[in-house]
Amino acid sequence: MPFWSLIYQFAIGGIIFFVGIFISWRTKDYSWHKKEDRRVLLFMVGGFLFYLVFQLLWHFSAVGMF
Amino acid sequence: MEQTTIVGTRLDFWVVIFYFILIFGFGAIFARFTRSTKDFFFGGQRFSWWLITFSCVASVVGSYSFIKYSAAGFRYGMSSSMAYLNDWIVMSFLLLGWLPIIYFSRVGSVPDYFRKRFDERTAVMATIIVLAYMIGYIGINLYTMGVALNALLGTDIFWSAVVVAAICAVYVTAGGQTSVIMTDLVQGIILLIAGFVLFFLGLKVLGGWEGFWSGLPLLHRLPFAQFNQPTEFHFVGIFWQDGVANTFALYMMNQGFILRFLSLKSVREIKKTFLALVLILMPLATFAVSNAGWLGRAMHTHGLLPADINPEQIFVHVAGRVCIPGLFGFVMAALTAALMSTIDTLINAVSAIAVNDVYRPHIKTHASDKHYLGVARVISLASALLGIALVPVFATFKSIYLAHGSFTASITPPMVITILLGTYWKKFTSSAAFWTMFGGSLLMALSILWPFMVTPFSHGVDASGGFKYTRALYGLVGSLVIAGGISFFTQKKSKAKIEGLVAGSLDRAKEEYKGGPINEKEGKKAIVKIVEDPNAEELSISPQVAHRLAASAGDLVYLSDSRAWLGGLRSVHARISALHDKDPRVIYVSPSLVKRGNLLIKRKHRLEKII
Repeated sequence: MPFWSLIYQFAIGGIIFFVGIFISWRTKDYSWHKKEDRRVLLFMVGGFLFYLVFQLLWHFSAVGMF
Repeated sequence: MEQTTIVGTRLDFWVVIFYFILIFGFGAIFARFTRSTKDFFFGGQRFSWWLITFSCVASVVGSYSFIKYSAAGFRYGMSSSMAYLNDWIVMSFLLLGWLPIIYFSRVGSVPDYFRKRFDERTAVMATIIVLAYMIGYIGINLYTMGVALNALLGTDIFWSAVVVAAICAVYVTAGGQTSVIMTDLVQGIILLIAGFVLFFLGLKVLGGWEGFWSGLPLLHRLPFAQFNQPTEFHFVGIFWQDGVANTFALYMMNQGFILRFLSLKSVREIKKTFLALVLILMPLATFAVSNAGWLGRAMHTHGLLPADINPEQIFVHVAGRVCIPGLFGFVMAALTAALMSTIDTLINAVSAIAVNDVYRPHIKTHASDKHYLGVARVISLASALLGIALVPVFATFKSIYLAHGSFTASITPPMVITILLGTYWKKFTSSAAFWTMFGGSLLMALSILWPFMVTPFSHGVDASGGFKYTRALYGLVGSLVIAGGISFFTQKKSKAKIEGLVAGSLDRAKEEYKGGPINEKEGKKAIVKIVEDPNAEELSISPQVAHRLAASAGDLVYLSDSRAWLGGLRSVHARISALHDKDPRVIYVSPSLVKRGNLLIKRKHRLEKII
């Protein structure tokens, strides 16, 4: 069922996404102490969550759950 | 099923002609802003995020996108949007690593990056691969657009391609990147509007949202396709091929996009651009290019379209069904806009690679910038002509068309792995980079001959489709193994030689970019009055303005016309050469700076610190 597609997208895609953030944090190219870096991280993680919630709602709406 | 031709009315035809004139004129206007190769390739590195974001949308959407995604939308439903809604996967690698590194290191292309990060041999190989990919891509786009216009307006395929290529070539040759950005801004807006207009007209035909939604079978309403079937369109293949390999390739390897990001005024603007593109405009773009297919499916269910309709022609059918004369021409103009905005980007990109990675380092090394600008213009024209010459070739020999597709699929995973490891792994050696590209492409080519090689990565996809999509995962893993294996046995470059080019050395790249210690203290923007001073070394500001900017002498600043809607068209980067004790609101600038930034002395200006 396409629901597994959704889980795969956000699980594997999510790993790739967060690995990118982790590497930048480890190499100190990204710093929580810089306002600009904080803002970019919030937008990126917010974007990830936006897609997750949006496509979850879309899926459940399409199958008639609400 | 047969090829459908819907020939527009005379009014539609004139709408398209008017559109051509508009774009031609608009592109030509900006020729006067191009005086150097930096202007020609990077638009002077002066633009604002919103302008580049819209222009990027136009470049992402090719003429074939409307046809391809509408067909997918008709066959498989709203999951046709998957390809545009998965760019977030690569966002962290691009925003926190690759894009800041190439901007601050003043890297102009992938071959240029490989020259600095690895060696000349790897750079030459990348140059050949990227040029072959882009020139072929110009021909493919011209050909597919000719086919689409032939179906919609009845025009000849070859001559449609000639007209469009000629218009693009003229304004790109004259105005370079600035003309490309400005015309793509308009074209991006046009194609989004056309997509939305089409949808609302379609809803009207279907009797509203209820008629639309009820006309879609359950699987057509879902955001994702089935996991591993059918072989022609399944989630896992799209995920690895499009979402991971192609998205990395689009933003890391496509020279058109590299130039576009480098034309922004700062790395902060790059981040804004990418976030806006991925989080806002790509969802809008996928809706614009796919919805004709979704409408077509609903119309088909309700008996409003023929039962034996050809999905490849669904865009034509729906546009012809819902549009009135004139509006149909507008939709055709949008289709052409999608093509032109991709072609102009490619023409400029080919010119950039040919000049900066072939002509300048290998043919004529120490010529004036004026000379290189002339060569760039000649190459722009030549690449457009080459693209036109490829149209009949693609039309006659379908095997060449397919070969380009196979070539692109073969080179993408190895190139992506080489760039990613080059950026993120300091132990990745020059030999490993070269052999990853060579061996990875070979592995991909072999798997086309022997598809069984992909089986372990296929996620249960049926082998009958030749693993067209899941091959990308196989290529990524294979390239990764080659890269790791060879790096283990070969000599890595010293840390000093790769400083600023790899993750973990971004501060060094910033210092190189600035030419001194960096200043990242948060400051504010200042509105200032500029006065031209022949004695000014570059730019002199008052201590009050310096305090507001949190800047001091030696810092890099960005001076722009205060009218935000210009998007940075009249602006320039400069170094604070001195502080003065005269009128605090006034800054003194050199005449050369005024000329370089196309600044208007009488206007108010905005000053901000970059670094």
